[in-house]
Amino acid sequence: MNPETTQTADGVASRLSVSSSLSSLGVIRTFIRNVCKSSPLLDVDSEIFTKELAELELGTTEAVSNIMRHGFEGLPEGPLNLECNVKADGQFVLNLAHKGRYFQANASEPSAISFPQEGGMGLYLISRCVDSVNYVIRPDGTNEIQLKKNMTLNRKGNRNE
Amino acid sequence: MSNSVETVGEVAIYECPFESIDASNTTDFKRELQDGAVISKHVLLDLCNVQFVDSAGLGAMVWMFRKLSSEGGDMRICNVNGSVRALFELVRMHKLVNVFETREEALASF
Repeated sequence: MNPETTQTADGVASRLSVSSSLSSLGVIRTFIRNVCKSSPLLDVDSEIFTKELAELELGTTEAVSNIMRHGFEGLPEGPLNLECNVKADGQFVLNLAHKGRYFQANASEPSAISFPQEGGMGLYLISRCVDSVNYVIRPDGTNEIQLKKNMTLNRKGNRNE
Repeated sequence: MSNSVETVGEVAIYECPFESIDASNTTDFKRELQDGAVISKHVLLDLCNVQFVDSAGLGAMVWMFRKLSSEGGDMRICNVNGSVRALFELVRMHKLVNVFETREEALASF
């Protein structure tokens, strides 16, 4: 479950492969946190970073939980492959790829009028925590959910300079 | 019985030992929270150790609150960190459950 990193046209991409078990949720949050905290583009000491990272961890947790509960419902556990990077404009992109069942959450924004409630809050939280969610089926049958979130850039300059 | 439950007067205090309350451990969380409800209908959920909560964890808290309320009891929450408080505000948790800064303030409110 060790992350790998590779150089791409958009910067450094980090990858992690985990089992489609709910017990992987904590590992996934740690992975997301480490990718963001190691990005020289983001001001990791700022309050806005803390807020945005918390939203990212929550949105990711809800999306991954949906994959594990709906994509793999009634199926044996399989791999869930994560790939993410922080682009030069501060956009965080996370791809969640799996070979479980295809599902697409309702695209309309859920109503929060009846909140809080015992269930059904996950999609609402995803919509509030990230800027976009896309569901794709690749030609090889892999299902992919892509989350994007615009993070606030480090205005103090590149930390590595 | 969970070691995380203690009593002060008529209030059962459950200090959640988990760093995160998410879909992976909600069953354990609900079981331990219910241990507190067995002792008293007045439960204080202390989140001082909790750094992260997701919708499953929130749902478990709502479930416990409604269960206690239907039995004439109450649940209150204290020691919520910044990100969990932001989550509470997103789903308007404060409309349902009283949330306090400290355990002392929460105990005094019962």
